[in-house]
Amino acid sequence: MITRDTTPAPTARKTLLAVDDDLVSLRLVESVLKREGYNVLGCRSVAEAIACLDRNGTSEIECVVTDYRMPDRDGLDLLRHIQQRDPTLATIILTGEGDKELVTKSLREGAADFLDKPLNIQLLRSVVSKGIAETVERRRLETSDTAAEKVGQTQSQLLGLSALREVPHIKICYEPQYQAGGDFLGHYDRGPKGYCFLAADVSGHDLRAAYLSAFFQGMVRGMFEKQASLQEIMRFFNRFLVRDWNANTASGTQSLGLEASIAVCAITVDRTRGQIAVLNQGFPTPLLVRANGEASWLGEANPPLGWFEECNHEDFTTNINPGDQLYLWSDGLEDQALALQIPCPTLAVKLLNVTSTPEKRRLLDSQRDDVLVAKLDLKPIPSQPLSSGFEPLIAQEYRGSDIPRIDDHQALWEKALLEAVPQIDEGVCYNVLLALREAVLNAMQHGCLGNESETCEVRLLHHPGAGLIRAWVRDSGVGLSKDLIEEGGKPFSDNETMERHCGLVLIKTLPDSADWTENGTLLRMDFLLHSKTSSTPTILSHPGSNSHFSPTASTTFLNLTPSDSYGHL
Amino acid sequence: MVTSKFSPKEQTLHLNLPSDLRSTTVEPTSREIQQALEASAKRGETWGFLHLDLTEAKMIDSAGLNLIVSLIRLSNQRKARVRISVSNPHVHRTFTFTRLDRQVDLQLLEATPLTR
Repeated sequence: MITRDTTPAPTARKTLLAVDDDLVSLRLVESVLKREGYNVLGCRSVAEAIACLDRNGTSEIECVVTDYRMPDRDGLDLLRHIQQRDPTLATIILTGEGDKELVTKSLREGAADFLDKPLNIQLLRSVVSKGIAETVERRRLETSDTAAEKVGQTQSQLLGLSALREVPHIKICYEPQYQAGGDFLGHYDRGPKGYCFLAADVSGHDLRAAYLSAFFQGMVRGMFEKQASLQEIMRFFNRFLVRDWNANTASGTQSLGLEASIAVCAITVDRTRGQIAVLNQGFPTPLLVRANGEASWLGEANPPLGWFEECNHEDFTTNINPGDQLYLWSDGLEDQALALQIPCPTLAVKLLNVTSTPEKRRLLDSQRDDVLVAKLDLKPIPSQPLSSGFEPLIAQEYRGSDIPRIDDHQALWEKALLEAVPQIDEGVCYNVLLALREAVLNAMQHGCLGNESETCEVRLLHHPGAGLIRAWVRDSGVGLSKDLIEEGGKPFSDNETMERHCGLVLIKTLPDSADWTENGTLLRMDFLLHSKTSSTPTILSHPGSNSHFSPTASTTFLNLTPSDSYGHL
Repeated sequence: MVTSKFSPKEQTLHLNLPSDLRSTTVEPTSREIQQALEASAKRGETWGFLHLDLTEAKMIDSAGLNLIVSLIRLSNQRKARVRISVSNPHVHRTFTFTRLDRQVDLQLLEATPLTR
């Protein structure tokens, strides 16, 4: 049978380093390898080998073959030296026959391979040849990495990331998975009228994605300068991708699957009209957080560019008020949030605020995609910095029939709270979780009547400046009647166990304030992070130490100022 | 699993509830309590106190409170009194917030169950 040798043929120019204190053994290795056409530098100790590497430079040597047992320092010492100095250089260790422990240790420390002594000449040739191939491949990859890094640096300059970081009304976090990525950010000032902020994500994470991203960016800038509208830009680029790029990149052959697509979200802020327009082509839906903590997802996404020739480019417009902020992230953040099992808004806020490197590393552990997050101050309040205001932690919709999954939802809220406020008082955390659980169960059972077609929205936000957690629960159903809220929610009075709505009792007593509006379909609850009501009561001694049951100490009820809003306490 | 123990000297029926009382767990717990009460009645035990050991509970929601209210009603019919032991201070607060602590003898203990 003819077998095909896949190892590369040796060339006369390859230089190897052979190290052995035993002269006979060294001469044998030298002679075998020289006959293969290699230049061989022979050394009789580790010190001599290091001096030889110093003299010749590691880049001139393609492979090292070293004996393990030598009188001064052993082969592993030399391996460690090489690993520190040039980890691309393959090192082969010669060991005593059957020394498995040493073999394991050598491989763990980075040896390319090992050979038993006495030497098998055929095996020596083959292992050295593979070692050389490994060095060549590692050096090729290192060069590619350096090239990719340079592309990444250029891309970063093109993206104007450092300049974007200086824009006062924008905060960004951009973490490409590799040196160069397919995500792209653009900020186009439109004078006193406003600005356009554009985020894009090219499919794929390789240099091709980076190239296409840069090309798209150039197109956008050029077309903006020619006064083209966003719709015209999207239409043009969609057609270009469908007709030209995707048709040609398959080298003239029929290709199944898409070659490239771009997800884009463009936010146009019109300060004079007090409006924003969101044009979304396949990007995750942005989250608008109002100054009062209301949070809503903005608009429906059109398909990404490059999918269909006939494609919608409709935008979504809404009014903005002072203090409103917009959060935007790429699907890379969604993948990361899923992997960490924390909600997307929580991770977005964490990444925008994180200052410690280990914490950032934890949040981006095993990153699966480029991660891009941006926060836009849509109508800044002059006296307030961008960091002030409500930060979203949870923005979810649940079906009315989702009651059996309430424990899973609660576990996620808890995770979000602990990520956002790691030092949160246990009592406040309990209050938030229990009140929110009751509010959501209420919305599902009484508002949505348990129907799958009805939904309830849940929002959880943190206001670091005010030391406040705010929760909103809105149902799409009938809401709660005023009578039920007022009568059913009263705490139990002394010596009577009349019918009470325990859920309402908890909703009304656990938060620092609770307020129903919109005919009882919208509940807002506020929890102070340093609330007196979360204080821990004194723990009594354990039974067995002559303790006896006693009536509990009286409880201080919240003295909340009533307002004329519906259902306020 | 709810376990029960009768102390004739104290005229107390102890019920040990092994976990949180939440909307998602309250149904089986309620069934087990019912079985324990029926078994006690069959044994002819007469109790003046119903002791609910909730020292393992970390959260009690409205469904859990409803169960406790129904046990208070049942005890009132028998002219008996409910005693509740909790070890979690926040569970303890839940009783005081809702003023259910006025309907029962409530005790906050260290986290070791009573009837083990």
